[in-house]
Amino acid sequence: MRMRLPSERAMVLATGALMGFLGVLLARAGNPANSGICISCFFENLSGALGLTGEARLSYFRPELAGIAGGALLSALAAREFRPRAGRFPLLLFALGFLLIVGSSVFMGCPIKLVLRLAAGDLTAPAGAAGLAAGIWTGVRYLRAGLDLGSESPQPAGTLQGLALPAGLPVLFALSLAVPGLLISGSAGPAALRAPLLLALGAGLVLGAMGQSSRFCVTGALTNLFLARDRLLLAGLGAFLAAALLASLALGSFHPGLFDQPGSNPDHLWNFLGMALTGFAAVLAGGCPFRQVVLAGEGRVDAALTVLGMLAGGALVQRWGIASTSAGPTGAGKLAVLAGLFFCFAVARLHRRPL
Amino acid sequence: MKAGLRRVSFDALTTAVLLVLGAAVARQGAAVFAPPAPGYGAPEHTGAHSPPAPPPEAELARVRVLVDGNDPAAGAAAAGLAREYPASAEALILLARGLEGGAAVRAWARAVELDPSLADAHSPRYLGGRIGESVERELERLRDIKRARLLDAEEDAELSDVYYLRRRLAGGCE
Repeated sequence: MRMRLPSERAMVLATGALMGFLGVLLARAGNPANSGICISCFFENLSGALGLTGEARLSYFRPELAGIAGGALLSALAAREFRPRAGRFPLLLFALGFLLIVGSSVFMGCPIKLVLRLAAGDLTAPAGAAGLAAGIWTGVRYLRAGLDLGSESPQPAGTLQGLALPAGLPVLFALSLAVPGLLISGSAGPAALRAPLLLALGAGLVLGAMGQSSRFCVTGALTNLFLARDRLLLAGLGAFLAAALLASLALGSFHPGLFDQPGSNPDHLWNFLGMALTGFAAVLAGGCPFRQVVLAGEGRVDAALTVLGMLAGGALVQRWGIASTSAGPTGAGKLAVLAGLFFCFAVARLHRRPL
Repeated sequence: MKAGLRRVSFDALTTAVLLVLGAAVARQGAAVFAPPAPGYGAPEHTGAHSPPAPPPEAELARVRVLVDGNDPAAGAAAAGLAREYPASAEALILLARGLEGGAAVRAWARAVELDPSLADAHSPRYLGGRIGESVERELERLRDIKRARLLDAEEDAELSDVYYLRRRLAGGCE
């Protein structure tokens, strides 16, 4: 095992701890409960803001999202790590991005929100955590058995391609501020629950920059553990959970229980399967939804395509009634999870290149 | 030889998983895309996607006056309205206001399903205080029953509605 520089470990721990603290703080400052940072929710909100869902209650361009993309881009430029590259299977990555959101919407939260829900005492979240671990483990089994989606050998791509998404999101956000009415901004429901703009934007910028320089990724932490017994990112995940738990306790957001949890549903089986789909798709796509936005900031066109798939997913989980509600998963949600798992297994089977 | 066998068994396992998932997708797909059976009080499925007509304003106003005035005829009038317009949140709100216990909670739960803004503290239509009172009373009642015996199927369904409403009132992103 390679020796870690102290600064590398410190950076990962600091990123995890800050994410936990800011995740709880943003919810206390106005974002929906337990959803201070939730990349899948943010994309559902963005697709609504673009008019793709017709659901005003979920329509709002969250400043955090523009901040994460912009922060990752600035950090990559500063560290000379902005290198536009593209892989071989663009449509596949688009579909995997879509599935990342499908699984998250059935569970009602991305892997980051999963940790925030755990830290808030939401006892419906452990089933999702087990599902996420199971999905990642399954994906890792295929990686070990020769799965190759070409993401390890990307080819150089044009600078404009690399810049399109990480610069495009902040520019669109700035335009939405300068031109009122350009995007839809809901005044009721979750869209009306928002942290102060500067706090949200600042938090996004810092998390994007730190996520880029530390390579922090919730699913990556488990992937690295299962694949190479590498515990560095897992330490960051531990710091994330610990900081979120401490912040929840300190800010009065810790309400342990099964039944009265905000933004949750009580169906453990489908929480498990939804997060299993997200975990499996994250391994195939090379990172959790947060990591995809950060990788796009480094000029990775693959990740940008995955992010566009996530945007499409954010729209269609609402349009097609895939997203769960407090009452539980929908029939369309169950169908989408099963079809998504079928797709992931089929991709893994077809793209296995055993030595 | 051993590696080859392992490779074949790995691929065979994946194929088996794909077959099982394929069957599950087909079954769930059939359930999702089957035309809904006409339910109690619901209009027959015609294949059209137009939303059901809301109750006439005059009829709503008439029942609202009865409910506001605690008129003895309010319960029957609200029940009739809700039966005739089962997809109207307004009709269900009036029904819930005239009911108590589990029946009230069930009506509130259906109303919130139809109109989530009833549980949204930022909406002018927010009725969280009234819904919350009803929910907490019913939760206490069900707790008392549970101390003495197991809940029957109907009480179990009422408990699900209690928890559903509490999750909605707690907020979150959905």
